[in-house]
Amino acid sequence: MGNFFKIFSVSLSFLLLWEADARSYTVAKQQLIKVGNATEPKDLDPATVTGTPESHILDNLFEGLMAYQPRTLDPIPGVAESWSVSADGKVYTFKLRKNARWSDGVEVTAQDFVYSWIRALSPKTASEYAYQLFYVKNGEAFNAGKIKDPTQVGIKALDKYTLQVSLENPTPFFVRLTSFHTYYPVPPHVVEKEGKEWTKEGKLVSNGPFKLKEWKLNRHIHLARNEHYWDKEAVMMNEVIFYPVENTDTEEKMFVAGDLHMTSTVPTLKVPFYQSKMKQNPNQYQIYKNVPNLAVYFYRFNVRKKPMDDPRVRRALALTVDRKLIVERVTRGGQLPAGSFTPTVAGYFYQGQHTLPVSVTPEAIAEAKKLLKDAGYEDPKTMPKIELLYNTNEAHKQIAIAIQQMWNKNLGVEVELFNQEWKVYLDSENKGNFNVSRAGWVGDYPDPNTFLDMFVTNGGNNKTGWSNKDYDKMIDMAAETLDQAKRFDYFQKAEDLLLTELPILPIYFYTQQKLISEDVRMLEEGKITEWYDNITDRLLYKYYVLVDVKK
Amino acid sequence: MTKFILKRLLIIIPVLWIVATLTFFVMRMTPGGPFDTDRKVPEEILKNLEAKYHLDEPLAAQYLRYMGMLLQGDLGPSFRYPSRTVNEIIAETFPVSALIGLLGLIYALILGVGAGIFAASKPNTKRDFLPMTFAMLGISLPSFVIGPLFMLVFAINLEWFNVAGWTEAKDAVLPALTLGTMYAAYFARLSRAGILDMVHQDFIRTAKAKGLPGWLIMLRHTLKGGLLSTVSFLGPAVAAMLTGSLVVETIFSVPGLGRFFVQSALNRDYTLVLGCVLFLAVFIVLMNLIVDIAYAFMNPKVSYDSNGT
Amino acid sequence: MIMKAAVVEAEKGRSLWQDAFQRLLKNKMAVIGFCYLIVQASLAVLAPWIASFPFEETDLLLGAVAPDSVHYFGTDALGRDMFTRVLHGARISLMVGILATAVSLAIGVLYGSISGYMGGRVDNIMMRLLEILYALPFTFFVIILMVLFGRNIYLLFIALGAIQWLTMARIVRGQVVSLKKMEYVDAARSMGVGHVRIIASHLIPNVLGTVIVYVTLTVPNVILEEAFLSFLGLGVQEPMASWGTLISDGVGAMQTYPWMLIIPCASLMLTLLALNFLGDGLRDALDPQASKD
Repeated sequence: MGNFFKIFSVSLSFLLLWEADARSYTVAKQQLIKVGNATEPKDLDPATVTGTPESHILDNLFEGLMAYQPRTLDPIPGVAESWSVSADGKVYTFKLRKNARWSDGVEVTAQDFVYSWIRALSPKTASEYAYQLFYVKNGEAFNAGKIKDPTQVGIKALDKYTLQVSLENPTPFFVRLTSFHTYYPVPPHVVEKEGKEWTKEGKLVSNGPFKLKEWKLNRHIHLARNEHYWDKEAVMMNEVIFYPVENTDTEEKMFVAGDLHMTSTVPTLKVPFYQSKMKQNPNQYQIYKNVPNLAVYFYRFNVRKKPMDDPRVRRALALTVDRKLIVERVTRGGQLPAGSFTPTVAGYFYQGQHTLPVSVTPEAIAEAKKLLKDAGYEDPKTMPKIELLYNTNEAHKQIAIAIQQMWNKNLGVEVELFNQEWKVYLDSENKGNFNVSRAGWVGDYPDPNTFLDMFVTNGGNNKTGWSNKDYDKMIDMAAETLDQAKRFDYFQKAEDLLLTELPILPIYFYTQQKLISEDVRMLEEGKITEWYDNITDRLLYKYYVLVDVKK
Repeated sequence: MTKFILKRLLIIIPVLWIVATLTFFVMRMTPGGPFDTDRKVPEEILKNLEAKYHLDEPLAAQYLRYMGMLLQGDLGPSFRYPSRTVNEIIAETFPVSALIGLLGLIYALILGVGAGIFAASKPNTKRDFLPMTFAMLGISLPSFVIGPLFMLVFAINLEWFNVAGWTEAKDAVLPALTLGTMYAAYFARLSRAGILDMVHQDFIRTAKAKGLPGWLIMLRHTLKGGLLSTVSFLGPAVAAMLTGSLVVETIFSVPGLGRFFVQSALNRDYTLVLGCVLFLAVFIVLMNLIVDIAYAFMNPKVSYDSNGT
Repeated sequence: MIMKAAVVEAEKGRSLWQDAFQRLLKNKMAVIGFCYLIVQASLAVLAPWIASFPFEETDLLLGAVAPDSVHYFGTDALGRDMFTRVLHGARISLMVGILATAVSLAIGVLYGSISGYMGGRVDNIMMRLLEILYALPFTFFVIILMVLFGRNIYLLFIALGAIQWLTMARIVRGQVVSLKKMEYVDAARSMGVGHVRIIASHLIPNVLGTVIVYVTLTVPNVILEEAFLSFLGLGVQEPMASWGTLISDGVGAMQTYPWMLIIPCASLMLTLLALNFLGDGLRDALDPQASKD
């Protein structure tokens, strides 16, 4: 059966490809792609920035020890040609390629990485993302100022082309991490000379496929080919322009007018329009795309406050949210209803028996009512008032309204909605001033750990007040294990606990939605193919190519 | 007169000081800080960040440090855009807002005052109701509706302009029209009322009795007094228009200063907030000064004697 | 016939107010405007009884449908009846429009006329204070108000009124500065009439025309500004609606579900037009000089 399905789907995709390719095209003369990039980047310093718009640009300017395969995100050789790891999984040795260059022609060396990582960890740099490097031995202590001597940090240049990294714990996903922007090298000869202004236009020097040509505040960021890039022969794109368009309706209109090849998102109310357009004309090569994302949308329950202190109340509420209806009728962007907390990642997904139902059935309502009764709230009116907190945003508002109505209709529970401006909302969440609060979590790296280590006792991002010793133990054990199967087993057990106790209410797994014009193609193994994306929406224009489609 | 102007210019200093002080403390009372994100930053990293921006010092020390910088004309580095200083951000974005504001102002004045005069010339007739109805349209359609509407019509359907962005000169047109439409409505309503106030004044009747031509009376007498309330309104209006509008600049994705007034507050970008606020304060004081001088010309009875304003 | 008699009565020199009222009644547009406002206000008050659906009821399976015989004004993306929501929205918006404007009117007229009348140093200080208030970042004050006192509808009126009075005060002060040099004010002063009396019975009545016009401009401003306060969390909270929030929600639907934008916009616009004609009628009626024609 499985085999039959595989064959069927392969032939189907073949058919679709053929359809798409039936329209012949030639590679366009002008290789300049214009993309919407949501908002003005705070900075272009790989060591300090944290946001998505910044990483979209940095991923194209810089390259880490490892680069990543644009579809699977699997690490592939970047500045490092090869690597090896010690038997205890704690010492990594990277061999750097000899032809890696900065965009001003200066060689990229192992010493540059030592400089860059120490700089990112240095208390003086005060990087918000320094903790991304805490896997490195003594990284955390150096950042906290407990160790003053940078040579004690576990990163050493054995020679010009050999880099040795010692870790605190065996970290199976460490090689992947080196393709993340906090691990990117920065050019010491420029940083030392220009200080904090080194990221400005005309000053910034990078080692990736592109270099910075122009950076106009709130206008655009213009990248051009880096002629010193070691793999420049493989790059077809010559220029990339990022537009910080904050208003998503404006971004959509720019796309319609032909001013953008690709948007960063699609306004929710326009999604049905594009979906029906695609349905009417299946030959439309591409306009609207949605791709599963390594991110979960969920609500936090504050277990320190009544009535959320009772797991039965939490379960009753979790059972009566129709996730399928929400993704189909409210968010409408192809999101997957979440019956568990961790999205499918690197072969992991929750398979235990505690998966929450995605639709609400009469049995589920009956069970939920019984749970409320057991918790002492037979008459839901006697329940302390539930306040649902969300940060001001159209999509969050719509979901909150829908869920408020579901709880009211299914259980008779009264919920009051509260929206707050972003920073006040964060303050309320951190101080525990909420009953239920809206949240989202985007995985930092493709591994379940990035989702599950959030809920350890007193974890900085736990915020629910929930604490479970067994859970903490599972997460700790997973961190110390090298055997992938065993690690996943610990994660399964942890997630079991999470879904039994439900300090959180998973709602859906995100998708990345985009409008893409039909002349955008991508390269894969040297061939031009249809556009594709990965689960963290890290777009590498190195692999993009524009074509002229024959009408 | 010169003494009056000098006095008023000197007053800018205490005004700025009060504005800066109030803003500084109110801002710091507001929950949420510049480094709060949905991924909580570990304690030790937060300490490093606070040390870097001197947020670990007592508030009074921070205040003195800021005032010291301010005296040297330095508005400090932005918290959100660490590679830029507030001075740079204002210098780079203000010209964009000023251009849009100026165009919008000219358009609003011509259209608004024109409509006001037109309507006042035959009150309570179709000539009055029609322009006033349009003026009300301009007011009840907020700029976040008018902007996208203009974009649809003029950029997408007629293709006269770019949808958004800031690459060529004509990119200023749609934002200016959007910004100006609301003000045009204000000017139309205020000038109509003002002119009608004047029409019945004795000196206008006298002029009429003398047989002066209608247009001359309008120009020499009616407009002078009739536009008084419009001019009063102009002070704050011009300051607001030239320093930019968040809504218009965000909708048209224009790199102006207006976006930062609200956004810097939402980002808790303390230095940028103060920079914007002080810049606006200077503008308001200057515009009101110009308005007050204009009063003297418009109404010969207003004089600025030694103990006057 | 009755009208004529009334006019004759008025010309005999009844009080200023009665006189004005009679003249207002003669203005057809003003009367239409007034009637429309009365109807709109009653609809708002009676909303819970007129509306065909509960305002918070969603129908996710239905989604957004165009106006038909069940949903007279269509539904929004969550399947909520727009007719109901616009009716309910009127309650908040009209209340905000009236109360916040009243706050700004009271403070603005008083402040402006005192500043203009007193002149000299008092005027100078009062006007500089105004400039300081103009420049202060309003966003923070709203957030602090909200954090200190929680969400409260009265706070909303105060916050909105508190920003709007600034321009009102500027305009009133400008008028008063020019009026106080008029002969009749000098005459009153030389007759020994007190400052308060002069401001109350000579200056304020004469700036009323301008003030009324500016009031008709303030009302739309506060109604729309309320949507921004909702953004900060102080304004109307879902599932409740106001015209301001309905309009800002509808903008994104301009092309896909246009009724979500057109209906609240049209409601606001008609109300403002009515208010505008009533305002102009009032202004003309109160113009003390006009009666001499």
